[in-house]
Amino acid sequence: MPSRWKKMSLFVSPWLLALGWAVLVSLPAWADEAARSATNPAAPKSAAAPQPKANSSGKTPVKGAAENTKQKKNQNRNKKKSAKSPAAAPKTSDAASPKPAGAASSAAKKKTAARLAAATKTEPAKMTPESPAAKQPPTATSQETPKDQRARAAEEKRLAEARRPAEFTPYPRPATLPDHVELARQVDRLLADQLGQAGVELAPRAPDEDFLRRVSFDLAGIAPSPEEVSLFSLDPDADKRAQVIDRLLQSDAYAVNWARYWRDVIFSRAVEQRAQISREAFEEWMGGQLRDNASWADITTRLLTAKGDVRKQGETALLYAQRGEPDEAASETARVFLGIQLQCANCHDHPTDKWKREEFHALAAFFPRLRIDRVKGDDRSFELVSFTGLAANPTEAIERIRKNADTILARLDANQDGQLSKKELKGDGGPALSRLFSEADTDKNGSLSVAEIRQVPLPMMRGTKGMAEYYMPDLQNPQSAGTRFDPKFFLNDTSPGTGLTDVERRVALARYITAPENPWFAKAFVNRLWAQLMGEGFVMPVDDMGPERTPRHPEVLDALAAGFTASGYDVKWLLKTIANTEAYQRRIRPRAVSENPPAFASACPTKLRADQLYDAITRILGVEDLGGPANRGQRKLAGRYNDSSARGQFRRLFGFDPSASPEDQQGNLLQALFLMNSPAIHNLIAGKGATRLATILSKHSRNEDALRELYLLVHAREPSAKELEICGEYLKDVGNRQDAFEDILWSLINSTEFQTRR
Amino acid sequence: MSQLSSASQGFASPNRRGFLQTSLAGAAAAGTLGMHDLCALRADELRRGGRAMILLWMQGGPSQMETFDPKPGTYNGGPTTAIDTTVPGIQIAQDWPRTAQLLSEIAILRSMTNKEGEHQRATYQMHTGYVPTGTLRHPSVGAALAKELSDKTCDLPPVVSVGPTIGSGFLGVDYEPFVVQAPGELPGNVVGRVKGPRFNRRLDLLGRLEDEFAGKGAEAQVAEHKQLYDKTRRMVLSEQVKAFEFANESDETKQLYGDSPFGKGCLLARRLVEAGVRFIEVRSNGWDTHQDNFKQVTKLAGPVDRGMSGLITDLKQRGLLENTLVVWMGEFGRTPKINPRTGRDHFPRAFNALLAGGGVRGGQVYGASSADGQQVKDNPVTVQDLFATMCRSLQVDPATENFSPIGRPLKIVDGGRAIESLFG
Repeated sequence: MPSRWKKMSLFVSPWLLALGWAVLVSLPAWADEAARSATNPAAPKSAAAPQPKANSSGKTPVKGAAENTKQKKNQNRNKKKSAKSPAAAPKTSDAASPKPAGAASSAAKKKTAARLAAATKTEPAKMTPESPAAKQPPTATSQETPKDQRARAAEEKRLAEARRPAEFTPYPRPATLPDHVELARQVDRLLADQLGQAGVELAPRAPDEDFLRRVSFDLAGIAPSPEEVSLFSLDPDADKRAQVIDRLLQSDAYAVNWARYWRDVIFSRAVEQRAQISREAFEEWMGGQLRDNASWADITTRLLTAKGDVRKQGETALLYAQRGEPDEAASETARVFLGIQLQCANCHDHPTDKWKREEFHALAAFFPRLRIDRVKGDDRSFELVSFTGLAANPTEAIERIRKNADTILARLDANQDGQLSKKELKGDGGPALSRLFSEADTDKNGSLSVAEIRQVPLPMMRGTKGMAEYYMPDLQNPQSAGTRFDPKFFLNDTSPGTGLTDVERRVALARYITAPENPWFAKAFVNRLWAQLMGEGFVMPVDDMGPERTPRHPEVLDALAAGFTASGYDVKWLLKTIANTEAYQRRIRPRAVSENPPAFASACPTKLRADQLYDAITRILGVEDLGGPANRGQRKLAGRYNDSSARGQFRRLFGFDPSASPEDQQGNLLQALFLMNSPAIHNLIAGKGATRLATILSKHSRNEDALRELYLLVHAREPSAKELEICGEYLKDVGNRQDAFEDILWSLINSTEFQTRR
Repeated sequence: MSQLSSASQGFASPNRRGFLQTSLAGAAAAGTLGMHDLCALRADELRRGGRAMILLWMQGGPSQMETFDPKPGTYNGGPTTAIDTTVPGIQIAQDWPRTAQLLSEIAILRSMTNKEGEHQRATYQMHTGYVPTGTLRHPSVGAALAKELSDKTCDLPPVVSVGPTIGSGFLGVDYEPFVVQAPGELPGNVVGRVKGPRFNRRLDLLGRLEDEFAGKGAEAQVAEHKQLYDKTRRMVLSEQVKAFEFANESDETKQLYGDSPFGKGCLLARRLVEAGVRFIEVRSNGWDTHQDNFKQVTKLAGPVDRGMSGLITDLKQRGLLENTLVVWMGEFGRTPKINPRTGRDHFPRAFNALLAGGGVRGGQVYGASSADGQQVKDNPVTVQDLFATMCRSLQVDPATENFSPIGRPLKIVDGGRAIESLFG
């Protein structure tokens, strides 16, 4: 099968490559100068004179020192002038050394493309003295002038800058954490008052076995063992629930469980389908953060300011999953960290919320210099780097060519025939130039007239990549350059300034988001975790909080958010606080069928996530893993980037987006078929051989004892009298103990309760 | 909702197959109707209004020049020659002789135009009608159409895909494509591991044991679960799953489609249409011909030419073509200019697609590309236009709104206009 990712966007490549040339011929200083000299009839020719030489010197950069110096003086003059134009040379440290867009483009994936890129790379040599160093191996030579050395140093600095991660300052932690017991009581008081006033009766405390199963799944992702259930029920300690909460939060399973939760949050919304290649690194990194109880502010900052190899630096996952696209990154940032759905404002002012289209695009403007490159020497991976080059908006560049068609012609038309032949343009433009040439040469006569230059086709795709600044697209005229936006954070209306480097922008954004003054940050996280533990959030879905939505029991949300902020965004502290409320520890109970059943008066059953279910199944069946599905089709479905382990396949079958509302997390046919009929489960529920069920049956000669153990194992509770009766009858009806028990175990595994967190 | 306990009644349980029940319940119960008769009955029903769509998806982006918009003798046209079809004046590329014989049933769109030139994004857009966004998963048009056309008496999932595809997005599990990997074989896990009576016995036991949890406060979850298990049980026990196998197909029919995976996919598609499935996608991979385009397309075209022409012929013979829309397309076309590796690269600006059946008048070409293939010359067709045309064919209002999880209304097709001249 042809590689999809190797071949992506090849179509665009000619355009991006041509851009190297486009940027060159369209630098405003050049155009300005040419336009000025055009008033003097003799001027165009003399102005054109250095051009071919510059081209040839591009091929062999260190040629004659004298010639070089002469050119460079010329170029320096140009550069000084161009520096006045922000589009040509933004006053930024990372843009100090121009890098051609052609070379910068992601198109350089194929050999040919790489060759083309190399060719265009030589182009800016004409304009700036620094560039020759870029295409030379950075080794000192005797010929190297001090200027060259400086240039080389600048280039090395630039490359280092592109890869250097942001300097990380941990979020300050308070000397003492807020009292979680006190806050849990406050939450319960508020809920009791408000629900009491509404005439809602609170559900009683859940039995120990229900609580233990619930809290084990919620905090550690696994069910308690039958022994744990029995011991916990017998434990007379009044404080045993708080103790088990602490124990679970200290367990390694806690970190693994929640790392998987966040993996699902991020990867469920991946725009980049290859994002799976960073999954393992993310799980490991996130697990480490959670194990060490890193502040949510620190985790957020690292996710937003990540750089590096996506297979190695797990924190790159969020931005990589959004392909490093500024608008996608902006939507996802707002959704995950602020609980705000801003993407509607991508195209128009938000229909129901107050957000304006400009606010969205000013948020996207924090990300335009983020780039994703193929890792050098490892064509199976990608890295997040800063864009440190100089590139105009490609559309803008081509628009400038069109506008300056006359001066371009005057300058380059060596034989003065009023047409530009390929030869006249040739120089080192190479294949990239001829590609642009053939697109522009609409009458196919082998040369470009002024009219043709005026109509050089615009790129078909609006490239946001390779731009140093962010442009909001003009929806009426999608092929135009759009409107430039500088970063500004919509919640505090603050801008970090213009022309900042990639890292400066992203660090600034992380700081605005995690600032204690920003209530959305804490509320979004509290709402998400509360919903995860309670089965329903203050606002649902958890990632769409407003501002025009009123949370249920807003005082409770506020109290928890204030505590979470005061804790220095301490994740374990928040989980501990919620798990210790009476609200969390209530029973489930039948709900009144109404438009708006009262929230938080009883527990709310929800589906187990795929990994939790997988662990539950393997644990009760007493195996490490289920083995791959026997179905060759299922294996094939795993595809190239996916985890082909049994767990990975199970996850693809049973996984869902944890940010979605429960009604969007329904099961499907393939899941039911798997639990009902898969050979893996069928073989493992056999009542004979080396299975768990066979062991139980041989241990207990009394059916009731075997049933009790089975229920403890599968449901982590004792069977009710009714259940014992139903199963007893069933055993009698079937008349074959082994068959009947297989059927019972099959029914338990296929039951709603088993697949639900109760 | 039927209860799990009705499982024991198996195939002929009440409250579904209303058609059979009223007119032929006796015969069916007496076992005098074979599968073949049932299919024939289903075909009758289809003729009376059941509409369906089959998407023949060319993953990678098929070259318009080497398919149905050849430019022989031009610089960009390359070595590809054109052949006459049964419709005077319409020529297609050399590798499609069987399709050429059927052109009176087929309309060619030569003026498809779009902006997405990247596989993933374009594949998403050409399946959903929307460009991808990170925060919303749009339903595939197959899911959206199946939702409108759904046949409640069918025991099979309403959307089936031979090979991976784009999912039902926020329309959820009811319309999630059931993915088949090996056409002609029963899909994995569809066959029960225990015999029918024991399978039903288990489900009865499950139903009784569920009561305990439902009584504790999880009735909603239990009800949903029962609904899903009932659907699954229906499928496992249904005679209709035989639609996935080709046992009762004649060699002649199999020959018609060819022995390739794609041909088998097409045959499966016809069988599923007969069984009441509303949207079937059959995928052909490898159309991303950056290198050696001409040889590759010749190789790829063979099975697709045969499978597609077999499908249209067979649907026509069975009287199903009028209500079944067949669409052939990929995510984009390929550059008119031939690259140095005698390949063609991605090109969404001007490409082509085929429509047959579903009320589309065959034997016509709609739109045209310029002589060099670089532009659409007349009657440009956008993705939305194409999708609106699909809706028109299936008599579904493209402005029908579905609601995203955050309550945002989204039309099946946002904008675009059906190409009226294709019909009638």
